Formats: sequence, C-alpha cells, structure tokens
Amino acid sequence: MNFMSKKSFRYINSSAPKIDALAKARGNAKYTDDLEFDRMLYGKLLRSTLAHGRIKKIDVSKARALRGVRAILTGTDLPIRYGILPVSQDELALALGKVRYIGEPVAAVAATSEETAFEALKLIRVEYEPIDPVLSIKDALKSVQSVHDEGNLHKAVSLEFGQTQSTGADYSREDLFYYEGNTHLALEEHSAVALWQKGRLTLHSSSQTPFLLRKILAKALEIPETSVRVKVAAVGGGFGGKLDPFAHEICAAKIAMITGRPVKFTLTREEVFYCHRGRHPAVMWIKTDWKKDGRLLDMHFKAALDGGAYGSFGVVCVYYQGALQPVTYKIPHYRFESARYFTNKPPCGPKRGHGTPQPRFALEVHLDKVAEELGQDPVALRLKNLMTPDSVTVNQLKVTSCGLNACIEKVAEVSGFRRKHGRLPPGKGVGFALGSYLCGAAVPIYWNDEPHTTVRITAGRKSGLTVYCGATDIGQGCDMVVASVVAEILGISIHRLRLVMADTDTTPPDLGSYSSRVTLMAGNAAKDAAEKFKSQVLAIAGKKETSFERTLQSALRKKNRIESSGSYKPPAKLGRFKGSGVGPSPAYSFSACVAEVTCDVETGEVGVSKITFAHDIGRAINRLAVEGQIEGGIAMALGEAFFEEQVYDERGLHRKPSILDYKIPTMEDMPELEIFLVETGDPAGPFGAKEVGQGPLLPVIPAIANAIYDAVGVRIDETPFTPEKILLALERKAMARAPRVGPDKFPDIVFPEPFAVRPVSAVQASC
Amino acid sequence: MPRLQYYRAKSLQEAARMLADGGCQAAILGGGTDLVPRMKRRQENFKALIDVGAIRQLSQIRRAKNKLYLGAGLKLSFLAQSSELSQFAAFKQAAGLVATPAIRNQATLGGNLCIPTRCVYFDRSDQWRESLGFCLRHKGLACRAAPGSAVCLAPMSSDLAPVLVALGAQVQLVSRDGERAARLEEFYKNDGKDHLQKSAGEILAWVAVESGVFTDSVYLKLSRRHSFEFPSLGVAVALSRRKGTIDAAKIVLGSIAPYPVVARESQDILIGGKLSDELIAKAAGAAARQATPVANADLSPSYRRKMIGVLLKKALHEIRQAGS
Ligand SMILES: Cc1cc2nc3c(=O)[nH]c(=O)nc-3n(C[C@H](O)[C@H](O)[C@H](O)COP(=O)(O)OP(=O)(O)OC[C@H]3O[C@@H](n4cnc5c(N)ncnc54)[C@H](O)[C@@H]3O)c2cc1C
Repeated sequence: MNFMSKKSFRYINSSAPKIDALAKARGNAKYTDDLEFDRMLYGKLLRSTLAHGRIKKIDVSKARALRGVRAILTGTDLPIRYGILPVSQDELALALGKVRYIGEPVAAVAATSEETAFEALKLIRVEYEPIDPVLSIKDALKSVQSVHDEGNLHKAVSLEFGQTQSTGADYSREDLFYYEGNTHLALEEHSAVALWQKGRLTLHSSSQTPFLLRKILAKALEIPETSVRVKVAAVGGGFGGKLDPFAHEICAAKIAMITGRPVKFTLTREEVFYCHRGRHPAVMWIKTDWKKDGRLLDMHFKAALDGGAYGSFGVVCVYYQGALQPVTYKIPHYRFESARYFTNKPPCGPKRGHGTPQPRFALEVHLDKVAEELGQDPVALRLKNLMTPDSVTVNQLKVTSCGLNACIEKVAEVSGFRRKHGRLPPGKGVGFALGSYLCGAAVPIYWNDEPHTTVRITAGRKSGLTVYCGATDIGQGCDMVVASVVAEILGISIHRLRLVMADTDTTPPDLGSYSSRVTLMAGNAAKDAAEKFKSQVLAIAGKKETSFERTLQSALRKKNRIESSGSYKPPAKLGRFKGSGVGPSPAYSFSACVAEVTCDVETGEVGVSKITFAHDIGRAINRLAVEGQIEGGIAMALGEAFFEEQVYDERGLHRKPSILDYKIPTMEDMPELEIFLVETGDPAGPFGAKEVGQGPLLPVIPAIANAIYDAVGVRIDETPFTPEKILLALERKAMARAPRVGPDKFPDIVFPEPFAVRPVSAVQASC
Repeated sequence: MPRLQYYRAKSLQEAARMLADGGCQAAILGGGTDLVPRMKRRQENFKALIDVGAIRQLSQIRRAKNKLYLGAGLKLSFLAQSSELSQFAAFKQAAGLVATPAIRNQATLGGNLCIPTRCVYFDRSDQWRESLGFCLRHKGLACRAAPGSAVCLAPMSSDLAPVLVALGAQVQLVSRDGERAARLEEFYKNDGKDHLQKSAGEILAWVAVESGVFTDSVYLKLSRRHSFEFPSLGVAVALSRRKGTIDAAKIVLGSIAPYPVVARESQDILIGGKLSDELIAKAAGAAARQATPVANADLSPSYRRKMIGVLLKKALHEIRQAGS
C-alpha cells in the first residue's frame, strides 16, 4: 500500500494551527469552571485527615445550621459501589464505615457561595478510630491490617511465552530498579457542574471519558443511563488523570437531584493530588540471557506495584508492566510476573504511558549495562534484536508497520551518538533508548460488540455542515484530527465544518480519550463517514460540479438533508489466554531518543543540553500537533526523570500537594530539541496515522539515565535522578563501592505458577 | 478569597495612618504576589489591604552623594534591568532570579524584603496541617521540622535580602508616629514566626545602598529548576579588592535560617588575602559551619548544608575569573 503517494493534501500532513488554538491562546475557551448558571450552588468535599480508620460518627448538625448551606451528603446517601473497570467495583463517592487514605472524601457540602461551603466544612465533626496504616508493599505483605476485607494483594499475574527456556547462554545479567510514583499535574483542576431538569441529569465535567462516566453515574445514582447526559467543555489537560469517575462528579449530580439547583464542584490543586490515579511506584527485577554475539535468548521480568487504596485501572496496569517489552525486541522466551498491592494512599491509575514507562526504564537501562559488559555498542546491541514490520511478538501482539530502524538511524546519526558515546570529556555524556506504544486498545473496557467509535456528518439547506463525534479533546488535538480528515476527504475548508464533540446526548458513542486510541479510531470513523457522505452527495447531485461545495449545494437543492455515519472497530486480538486483552492494538508507534547531559560533580546537578528524538508516527495528520505532543511528552519525561515524586510521610500524608513544591520542568528547563517524524504509513491508521500522545515519553527517561552513566560513571537505578542521589553514587564510586543508587531487593512475593501460553499457530500469525 | 476592604493610599503618610487605624487587621499590599496566595490559603486573614502602588515616591530611584535610594515599590523586573544598578551586579542577578517573569513584573522590592518565612510544614492548607498536627507557628506546640526547637526555624526565603545585606543596605521605616533608619542586617531576627524587626505599623519606604564600597559581587541561588522557584539556599558575596588583595568581604547566606546568616568566619579568612585556590577552599570549608539547616525546605538539610561551601567556592571562582 502506498500511503505516501504523490497526491498532495491540503490538511493531512500540514502544519495548520489547531482549530481551537486561537480561542485558547486568547483566553476565550470556556472550561468547566467557567460555566455559570442561575441559582448555582457551590460544592466542597470534606476529606479524611487519617490514612486508615473506622468512621465512628459524623456530626453535620452545625454545618447544616449554617446560613446558606443547602445540602450535605455523607456515605450513606451514596451507598452503591462503582469503579472504572468491571472487575474493580470498589469505590464509593463518600467513605462508608472506613477511610482508606488521607484526602478520601467523607462528606459533601453545597452552599450558596464558595465561602459558605468552606465555612461549613469546618463545622463538620468526624470521629475516627485509627487503624495502623498500610503504607508500602512491605507493609502490605506483613501487616495484620487489611486495606480491604479481601486482603492487601489486589492482583498477581504470571505468564510465560515462547519456546521452552533457552539453553546455551553465554552471558546473563539481572538488575533491580525502582520507579517513583508521580501524578499528572494537568493545569486545569477537575471541575464538574450538574443540572437536574425534568427528571434528567446533565453533568458538565472535565472528563476524558464522558460515555463511561454516563454509565457510572447511572449506576451510582440509581437512575437509568438514558436519564444522564454528560458534556465536556474545553479541558486543560488530562494525561489519564480524568479517566476515572470521581466523587465530586457524583456528589454534584446527587445534590442537583436533591435541591433541583445547578451545583458546581471545582477542586483545589491539593484535592487533585488526592484524586491522583497517577503512575504506580514500581519495584522491578529483570534478568536476560544472551549469546556472546549479542543475541537475546531469554527475558524474565518481575514488577511489584504499590497501588494505593482502590482498584482504579490497576488490574490493567499489572498487565502493562509486561506487555510492551516484546514489541521493540524479539524475545525467544519471555516470562513475566507482576503484582499490585493495596496501600493506604491515594489510588494509582493510568498516566501517560499507562504502566509501561516503569518497565521501559528498567529494560532500556538494563540493556545499556548488558551492552557494556558484552563490549558492544548500545545501538548495535538493539539492532541485533530489533522488531521488524509485520511480525507477531512472543506475547502474541501483531505488529504491522515498524519504523524503529529508521528512528534509530536518524537519532544516532544526527546526535553523533556513536562518535560521542564513551568519548566525551568528563561530566558530559550521551544516552540512548527506544520505546513503543499502542494506538488504541483493541479490547474495550466494558466488553461489547459495538464499534469503538462512530462519526456522523449531516448537512441541511440552512443548517450547514456538521460533524458529530463523541471523542474528547483534552488538549491533545482530536478535534483538529477529526476536522482535518473530514475536510480533506470532502475537499473543503476546515472552517466550513461545525464540530459537535463529546456530548452523550448528541454525539454517537466513543470510548474516550485513553490508550492513544483517538487519532486512529475516530480518525478512521471520520474518514469512513466522510467518504460515505461524499459519495451520497455525488449520487444525489447526479454530477460533479467544479467544487465539492457546489456539488453539495446542488445535492441539497434536491434533498434537504444529507446524512452519513462511519464507524471503527479494531481487528480481533490474536491471544486467547487470560490477560491477552491488555496489549493488542491495531498498530504500534515507535520511538528512539538520544539524550545529551552535563553533570556537575560538585552539586550533583544534571543539565540536559539536547534531546534528539525520532518517532514513527505512521503518518502525521498534522505535523505541528504531532511535534507539540512529542515536545510535551519529552517535557513530562524530564519531570519524571528529575523531579516528580508523589510521596507520603509516615502517616500517609502527601508530602507536597502543591504545584510549587511538586516540581515539573518550566520552559527554562527545556533542552534543545531536535525532532524527526518517521512516516511508515500503517495500513490500520487513517491515511496511515499512528499515535503520538503517550509513546514519546517512554524512551526519554532511560536515555537520560544512560547519559548520566556515560557522563560520570554512576547508575541511578531509580527515579527521580536527584542531585542528592548523584552525589551519593559518586561518593560510593570514590570509595570503590558499587557506583549505584537503587533498590537492592525485590519484595518477597510468591507469584502464582506461570501460565504457559502456547505459541500462536502459523495460520493465525500470518498477517 | 475571603472578603476584604481595599484602600489605595495616595501618600506614605496616608498609608501609615491607614495602617495604624487598621491595627493587626490591616496589611500593606505591594505586588500581592506573596500576600494574596497566602490569603487564599487562609494563612492570613487580614480584613483590609492598603495598596502602596500609587505612591510616586516609592517607585523612584534617587541618587544623593554616594548613595542610591531605591523606592520599596520598584518592580523586580525593573531592578533586574536597571542600568543605574550596574555596579551592584549581584543585586540585579538576584532580582532576575526571583520566581517567574510574570511575577517579577508585579512583585516589589519592599514586598520581597518583607515576605514571611516559608516552611514545607506551614505553607499548606488547613486540612493538610490538621492531618499532620499543627505546628509552633499556628495553633500547635512543636516545630514539625525540628521537634526540639523552641522557636520556629522557617527560613527567610527572599532572594534579595542576602544580597542587600551583603551590600550593606539600609532601610527606611515609616509609621504614623515617625520614621527611622535601620541596617538591613539588623532588620531580621531568629524567629521564623515573626522574623522582622519591625512593628505592624511600620512601612518599608526605601532601601539605601552605598556605591563604591565593593568592587565585585555575585549571587548564586540553589534550586531544583531554573524558574518558578524559591531558593533552597542563596549565597551572596560582596568583595572589595585592591590590586588583587581583598580588603573587605561580606558573605551572606539566605534561605537557611529565619534571617540572612552572615558567614563571618569565611569573611575573616578572605580579608587580607588573594583569591587563590587554597584561600577559596578554606573560606568555602568554613562557610558550612555557619549554619545548620533543618528539614523545612526542598532538598535535604545535609545537601543544603553541603552546598553552602560548594556555592561559595563557585561564587569566588566566578569573581576571580571576572576580575582576571
Ligand atoms: C510561585 C512563586 C514563586 C516565588 N519565588 C520567589 C523567589 O524565587 N524568590 C523570592 O525572593 N520570592 C519569591 N516569591 C515571593 C514573592 O513573589 C516575592 O518575594 C515578591 O518580591 C514579593 O513582593 P510583592 O510586592 O508581591 O509582595 P506582597 O505579596 O505584596 O507582600 C509580601 C509581604 O510584605 C508586606 N509588604 C509589602 N510591601 C511592604 C512595604 N513597603 N512595607 C512593609 N511591608 C510590606 C506585605 O504586607 C506582605 O506581608 C515567589 C512567589 C510565588 C507565588
């Protein structure tokens, strides 16, 4: 298939500015907190000040008596458990019986002003009976206390793939790594406004998943799904932090139902840290076996995740710890074990890269160490074991296009990696790493046979041309993707289109903005809808005029309403084993990164001077937006590499729930970036497009760790790479001890017997 | 934000009168970059703010004899770029390192010198501090960072204070009942809860610095990133060198104690000597003994302490390099 045909496009592959860019730059875009309604009430949540305890008594009488207070809810008002995954229905909007982390909502107040709601919170008295908190995996394994009645182990998996265990290895190596937990830090704090009108609920929310939220609201509020409408206004970033349903959304809805008045909850920054659902802290162990010449024979990977107090997406995260290592490298035999534990801390969940940045960090640093010991160049070692297009991985994922080779050659050449590695002056170094990510999960969260997304296009004589799509633009640019695809196919100006997005009443369903699925899936649905629309218009008009615009006008003279609908459903997964639902995707993106750093051996400070990055995007629907996503991914990776720590004290109290103290890089901390797009044209993607929302974060963190080693000869095997850790490692080096900072033991976890997955038959595997 | 009254004073005298009338319920509003967030967090609950931004006198630079008088209302972005201040290199540097460009456009000199001390255990919401147990500074009995301490040890976190102390600055304080001058070095005291030697009714009107006293000055700021950061440590150095020999030296450490700490031992080591590697190493070595940071800021106390010597060494090397 030739996706890079000579045919020139107007929008596809252009650098046209996003359609919402101007409004956002000018401050005209309306976010959820900007919405105002007559007689609106302001809601606030009272949150637990104890990490683990039984609620003995909640006295709301004083708060209720305060002038201006209109409603107060406690756990008994919302007793139905829910959760984002069907297998983890363990959450309540307001704690009932027990609190499980500091910051867990215990009561909700709505009042006629925000000030009054604050005052009312102070008047609520909660009596707790403290229970010893479970604050680490170690605690979870040995404590007599259980976060949940079922015990502290949430999920453990053990899978084995490929030919029987290798023999004849010349060399093997094992390593331990730790990845610190961190959170999304989207600039917009979560906000929701609920309205109850004529027996129907409308919830405006800064959510990444309006259709899933509708389902969960209906469940928690015990009303039919048809009585719920969820609409999403402009969203100031999500990164996975706005995927789960949240207490403030359910409480806003409930209070609107009780009072009949509009209710707004906007969280403070501190509350967003308690909502969390961010990156799991992970201890990881990896062992690989090799031939002397650098051929990989065997990989064994273990991960232990500190999950926080509730399930969230945790089960999926457990599988993602092992799912994507085989997508970049050919591994003949692969074993992976992973477990998640409950602890008395805010729940972890999905953050950009969902469960794969931790293992990617471990794997790519491990490979750097292996390369050194085998006396090979780190690039060459990877090339020897590299994934190739049209392959099936050892864990039964179907890889279609794969531009890894081109990505590697590009960054290696431009950065001068081969020339510089091991040869720069002391204090300076270069590091290399790869990554890969899926372009949409092939399996929906709630199993069903429906399309994953549908796009509708309508035109009427007086109503213009409208595109309806349920996908949610959280800043990643999917409005622009959908509009570009439709405008391109129809051959009209993008400004002719009216977009109606992310509204469960008016737009056809879309699963949501997660798993990097939207460009591929909504893009394909938009393409399908536009192509159908175009042929209908031609058929009705009878003949082609000088432009599509004219053809459309002529068709509309014959028929006053023209409508089409297109949809997308991913191909079936190959694997048939338990857990095979995590990992399959219609296509995979690939990236390669070279980081160049300077270390100050006196302060331990590391400065990244340059990142050279290549990303196999399949095809850029919009180059400017793709580059923007890559820059953003790199910025977030720098934050995780150097600063970010979602950490708690011995009570389970978040140490720094403030945007000033929880640090992410600023513009001044950004290095020089050189970014290349590799366009492989994937058969599964619209115009060949793949994802870019999550993948680019992955290789940056290990590339930096490897560059630090190249610069000063110390291994920082845990994130973040703080100046203190670097000084500590340098001290160890000076004392001829292992020049390393990182974990020295994997938790004592007894994993289940591995489930051996039989290789897929040749028939199934042929693509 | 709680409700409050806002006044815009037309003269220093009017502001001083309003402040006296307001008692402890009123506060001076400079740029508001520190005060307003604190009020939003409900760490302060002033009922009235007196904006001094319209007082012309406070936003001027006056030169008289060998002294420069800087109005307390001058904005940091202006100070960072002012050509009149070129002989006070460290001061300009420090002003340019505060917070972010947007904050510097709004923040004032007076506000910067008067910002309350900061602490990771105090600059938090009520609910957070309740979860932890309140501290010495508010409702509680013990310091959370240093449980044995009888006083609050929250560090003075202004970037400009250590530099201006090093440059020997004086401040002019105006109240309803009169005015007085004070050495900036004596304007701070060792109590994080109340670290200014100033009564509630006093307004900082201007800062005076003498020119020609020092030949070199440098300010180095320790922080995790390059913008949007309070200092975790600030090292200000001012030297006077004649033919390479140091005849006056002032070394001041910021963000390590409730007041700017003068590193006397290091100063004494430098005076009379030349900036040789050995002398620099000796002065740097002595500096770390001058302060014992506690765990109340970003970065660990032992790291911050170790960095005192490292930054001082870097600062002195910088001076030597610039001068050669
Ligand atoms: C994100 C962020 C980062 C920051 N980073 C830094 C930093 O890196 N370095 C740094 O030094 N500061 C920093 N700050 C603190 C602050 O912005 C600056 O110190 C600023 O210079 C304060 O000046 P202002 O005019 O805004 O003070 P205001 O907020 O108006 O006032 C601060 C205090 O001083 C009092 N005050 C103001 N003017 C006078 C006067 N003339 N006389 C008597 N009292 C007065 C006020 O009553 C108040 O108590 C930061 C603040 C924020 C929000």
